[in-house]
Amino acid sequence: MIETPGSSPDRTSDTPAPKAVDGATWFFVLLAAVSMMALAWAEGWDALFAALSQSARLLATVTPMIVVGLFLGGLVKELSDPARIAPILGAESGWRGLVLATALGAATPGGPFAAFPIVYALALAGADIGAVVAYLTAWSVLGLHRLIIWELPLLGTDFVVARMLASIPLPVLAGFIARLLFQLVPDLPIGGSRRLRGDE
Amino acid sequence: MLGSLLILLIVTAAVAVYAFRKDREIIPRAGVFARQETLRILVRLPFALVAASCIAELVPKQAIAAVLGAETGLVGIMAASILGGLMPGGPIVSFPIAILFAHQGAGGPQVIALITGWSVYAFHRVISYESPIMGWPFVGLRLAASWFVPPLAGIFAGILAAMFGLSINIH
Repeated sequence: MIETPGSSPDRTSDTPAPKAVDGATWFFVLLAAVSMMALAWAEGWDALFAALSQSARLLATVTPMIVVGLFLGGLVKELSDPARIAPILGAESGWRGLVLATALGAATPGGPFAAFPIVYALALAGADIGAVVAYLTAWSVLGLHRLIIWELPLLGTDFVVARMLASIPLPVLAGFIARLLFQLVPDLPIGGSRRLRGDE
Repeated sequence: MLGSLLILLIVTAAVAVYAFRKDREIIPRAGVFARQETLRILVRLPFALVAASCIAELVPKQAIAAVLGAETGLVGIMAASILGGLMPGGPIVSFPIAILFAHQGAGGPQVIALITGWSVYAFHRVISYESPIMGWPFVGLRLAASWFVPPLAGIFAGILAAMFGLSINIH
């Protein structure tokens, strides 16, 4: 569950706004600098300029999706009543919660721009770490849209059937293990200043 | 990319209409959340994308195909899982690479471990989206809870294919 009091009607304003520039930002600045130097050293300036212009194009296409995705995440968060989310996706939801999260993840279309804001919002609204991990694992491994577009036409039915049958139980298992591991780290920061917590 | 933005816009608009009918106050509150989080993420994102693009260029693609043959067994499945995690980019880049490997002689279980490793470990996605949004402690716990998924998917798929006579070796 979340640190913010769920009983307050406005769950946005009673948490301090996350700081825009923090340690994580400096980590990315450092990582970018080191990988730019490594690429320039290994493959020359042309490769570096190609990579930089590719990231500029990526930033331009991805930024609107992240803004829209976060607005969708905000809507999901406001619409999700913690009193209703917690029993079906929270720490007490048991195997049913993990199976439900797996099904929701498999059904979520689109890229990380949509999936991460949604799962972030669900976590803030009372979904526990097991449900979040099961959702993300299912979204990435069982994603139905990718299967239809890429796998069926190019790798064939047998391949897809074997891969899906082998993979279906795994997100639930990952969610279960996430719950076990969470016992060891009872206070996990997620996103900005907010925290996921164990049982209240 | 334009298509996915369009789908995202349509879904968001539908949810927004539903929210507006339920309670008019929800829209501005969602706006506040989106503004705070967008600010936090957009400061990190340019650096994250530059790092991800440079690292993707440094991954040797030719070397990967050599170590994934059907005869490599468990070692090949483990290697494929990790290499899959290192594969750069979204499905438009990575799926053709995986399919190319499959046609060049990579075994079925190895290709499944490769695709699943790309889906679950997704170091590219971790750097560019997951850690800026969710934070590193969450990423660490997610990986600790799901590191076994790609090799198990490859092993299970191999067993299922043998049991039911499915042909998962593409070439």
